[in-house]
Amino acid sequence: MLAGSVLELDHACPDTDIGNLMPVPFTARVASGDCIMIECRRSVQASAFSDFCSGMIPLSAGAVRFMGLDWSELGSRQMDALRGRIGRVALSGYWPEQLGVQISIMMRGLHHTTRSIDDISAEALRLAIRFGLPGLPIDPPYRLDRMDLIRAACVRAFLGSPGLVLIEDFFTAANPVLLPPLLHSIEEIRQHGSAVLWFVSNASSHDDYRLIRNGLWHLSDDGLVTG
Amino acid sequence: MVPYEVVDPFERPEDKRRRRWFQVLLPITTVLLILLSIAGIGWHSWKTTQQGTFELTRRLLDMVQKYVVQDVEEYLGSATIGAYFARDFLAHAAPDALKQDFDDYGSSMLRLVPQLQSFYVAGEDGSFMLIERDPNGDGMEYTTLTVKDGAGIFHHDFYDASGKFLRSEENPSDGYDPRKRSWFHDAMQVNGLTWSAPTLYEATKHLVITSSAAFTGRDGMQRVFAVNTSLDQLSSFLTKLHVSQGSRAVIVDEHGHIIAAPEFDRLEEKSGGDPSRMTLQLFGDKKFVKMYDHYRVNGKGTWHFTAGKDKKGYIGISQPLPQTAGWILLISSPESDFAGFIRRNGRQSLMFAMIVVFLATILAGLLAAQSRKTERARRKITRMTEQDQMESIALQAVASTRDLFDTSSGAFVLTEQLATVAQARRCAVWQFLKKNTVLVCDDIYDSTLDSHSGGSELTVSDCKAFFELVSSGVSAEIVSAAADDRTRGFERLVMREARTSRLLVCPVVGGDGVLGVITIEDSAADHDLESFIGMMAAIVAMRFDHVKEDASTEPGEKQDLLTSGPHHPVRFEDDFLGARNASEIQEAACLYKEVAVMVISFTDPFMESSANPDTVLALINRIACAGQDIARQHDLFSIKLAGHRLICVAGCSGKAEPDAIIRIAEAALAFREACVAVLAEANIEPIFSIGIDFGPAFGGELGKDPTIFNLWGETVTFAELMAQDAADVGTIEVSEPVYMALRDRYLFRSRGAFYTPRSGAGQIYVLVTRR
Repeated sequence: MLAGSVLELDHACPDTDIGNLMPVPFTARVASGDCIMIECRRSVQASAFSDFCSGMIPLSAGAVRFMGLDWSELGSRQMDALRGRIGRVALSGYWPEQLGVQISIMMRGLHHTTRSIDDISAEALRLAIRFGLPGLPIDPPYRLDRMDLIRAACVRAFLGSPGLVLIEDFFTAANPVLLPPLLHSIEEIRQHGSAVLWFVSNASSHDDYRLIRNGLWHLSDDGLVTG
Repeated sequence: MVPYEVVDPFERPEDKRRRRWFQVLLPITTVLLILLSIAGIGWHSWKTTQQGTFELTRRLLDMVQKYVVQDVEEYLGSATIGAYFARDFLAHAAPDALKQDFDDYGSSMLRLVPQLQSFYVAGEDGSFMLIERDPNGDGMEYTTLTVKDGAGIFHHDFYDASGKFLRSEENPSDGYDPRKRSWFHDAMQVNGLTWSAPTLYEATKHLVITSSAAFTGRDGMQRVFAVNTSLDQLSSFLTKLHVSQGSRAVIVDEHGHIIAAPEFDRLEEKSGGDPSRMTLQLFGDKKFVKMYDHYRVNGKGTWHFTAGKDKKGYIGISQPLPQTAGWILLISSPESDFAGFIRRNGRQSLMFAMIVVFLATILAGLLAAQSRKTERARRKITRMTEQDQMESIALQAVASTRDLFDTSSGAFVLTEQLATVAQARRCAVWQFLKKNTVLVCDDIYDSTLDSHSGGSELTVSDCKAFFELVSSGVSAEIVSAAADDRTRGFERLVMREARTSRLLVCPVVGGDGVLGVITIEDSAADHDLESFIGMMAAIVAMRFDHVKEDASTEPGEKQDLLTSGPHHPVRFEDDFLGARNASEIQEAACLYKEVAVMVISFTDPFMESSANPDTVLALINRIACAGQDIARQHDLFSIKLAGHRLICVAGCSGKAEPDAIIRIAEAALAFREACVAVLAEANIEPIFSIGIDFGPAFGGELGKDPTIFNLWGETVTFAELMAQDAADVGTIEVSEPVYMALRDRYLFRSRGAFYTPRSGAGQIYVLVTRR
């Protein structure tokens, strides 16, 4: 493991049969405090790459290490605990319909940590207001507006200062109002040594925010091109 | 491990298992193995010794049995050999000398052999001769059956021990015929010795047995010679027989009747002198009943068995006695008499084993404790390493802050890093001012809310003890600030609002003494923070020194800034419309029960637009004018511009205004329409949002000459929150009370239910249009 490395792809080759990633070897490194923007035209590919980084896609070769730990060498308990350190703004949402959104938001903190519910809800509320929600949404996800769900997803992702935040962002270009709180939160967790992988469909549309990023990668069927 | 994390992903399960194995399972397994080894060795030793002892005991009992058998044979041998001898002797005696030979032989035998009770001879002609001991003396009694006057008479001659004739007696025989006796006809039918069943001998009241043998005399007459042998001597012998301390022996016949046994007198008494009732059951020793039953099933041999309520172990031997009428010798002996030393030895071994186990357990406990101690030390070292890293990162963050000593900015980085390293709820930096009579908060950081505040003051009169504590220059850790006299005032004024209890007080000491204090509330760190806080206190002291330098070296410049800047008249009145009539306004602040509040929030991009400032200003002015017109048109109470927010109020006249919320809603729709139109003209997206709430609020005229009307409370705050956090630009968001009041008149759509700490859960709606 390289010093300060949060995520490391070491010639990691996804299994052919699973995911929307081509079975090509991926090699990259995300250091502590990095904010890497990944240009990716296909949203499903971004989701698959997020899964890949989260150790959810089996590998045919190489290794994916998060915080120095190889996903393939971990037991399920360790993997679950380690995924508790990843925040994710997922395009597909992953909102359990039987739960109130506030439970889904706080679930990671409640499950993986011993923080009190008051503590977690106070932080969630702070983030909710930052992202433009009047409070913590307590309705089931199907009763919430799409934008409010995206806001809630941002709250969920940044809650508890995760070590890595994966933002599958195909919405901020159309909704600039979300950008300021998003940038604020990104900067905040970077100060804590966390890293951010920010998937965008078109990097040029985020040129105004190029100062915040310290890397631009391109994800395509040929693999990952780092620059 | 991240604080509060339940599972540490960096801890491998196999490491945890291995550590648990070495720390706990290995010592326990070792102790168990020791225990098992000791138990196994003890068991094997016990079994071996027991088997050896049993073998030894069996051999001993065999020997005892042989000895007893021999004794019994000897005891009964006198009768047996005597009978055979007498039969042969009398068969060859001259018929005339038969009585004399019988008397001589019988008297000699009775004198020499104590267990012999009597001799008698009966002939097939009905003759009968008897010789026995005189029951009233030491001599002999000779009895002959004679016929006198046609009647049978017993003639008795008595002699003393020296053979001197004493007297003669006669008594009727009462028809006694020896030929009808079993001993006679049994002997006549068998060519050998026959034994009768035990009978009670009337003369001595002792149990006797009769052995008889038939012979033919020289005169050709068949006769039977019989010997009575007393059994009381045999019982006395068995009573005196001591194989071991608790051993007993009995002789029974083949039907289970007791022939001889210890304490035979008692048995005779219990049976009423009836030999047929002298059974093992009557004897009362269940061991012998058991042994007899076992013998009947399994035959002779040695047998280990338990008996009694306490299941005591016994070794039993059953052996048929030769040359008897199927008599059986039964010997029982308690196992403990032979194997007792094994138990004692085993108990002793067990005690030694327990001592060994106890010592082994202590050793295992010490080993486990040592392992745990080592593990704790390892964790402590890991924590210290992490702590060092955390402190290094914190110090780097502090050191890399450019405006650390800039007196015009807050000491945010200091409090944030202190809170992070100390894992504290709140951290604050306080500075002494006015000759250490006032503590001014430079910055207080709340890690839960991630918020900074500052500027509050504590005077010495507020919390004198706390000032004394700080002035002493000594750090103190107070577990319960509310319960400690030194910090009670500080807790009431500062900590209570955050509901913290634990307090760490670290005075900031500079060259001029104590300059201030660092307070850390509810720290969760379990490690030593002294050195880190000391360094931070030193940095804070340097910062305070800078503040002093600024104050001392630049007074003139600051004076210029105060006096030479643009002088604007102070505006107390921010209302566009102001209060309409003084009579309509409450003189003092009061609670308005139903106030409708509308907040219009303009987003930052609009306010910070890069467009020409004059153009933006003109645009804002047009919006403001439109707002004034709309407020007048809908008879609003007040409209106020505060930064990028416009606050409109209705329903504060002091009298009931049921239409206040309707007027506000109408104003909102009108304002949205006007605003969109104005922004559209300037080709700007409608980047504003509106929030409306309806409910109680505090308000009133504040200040003096001029006064200003101000309104505050949850209703105002929530309207403001909704305006800021609207789902989309250009939307009008309303609270649940507004929706309830207006749902008949307007169309709404729900944004969803939201939770806020002060208001709880509530629905948020978007006002779309009129019905």
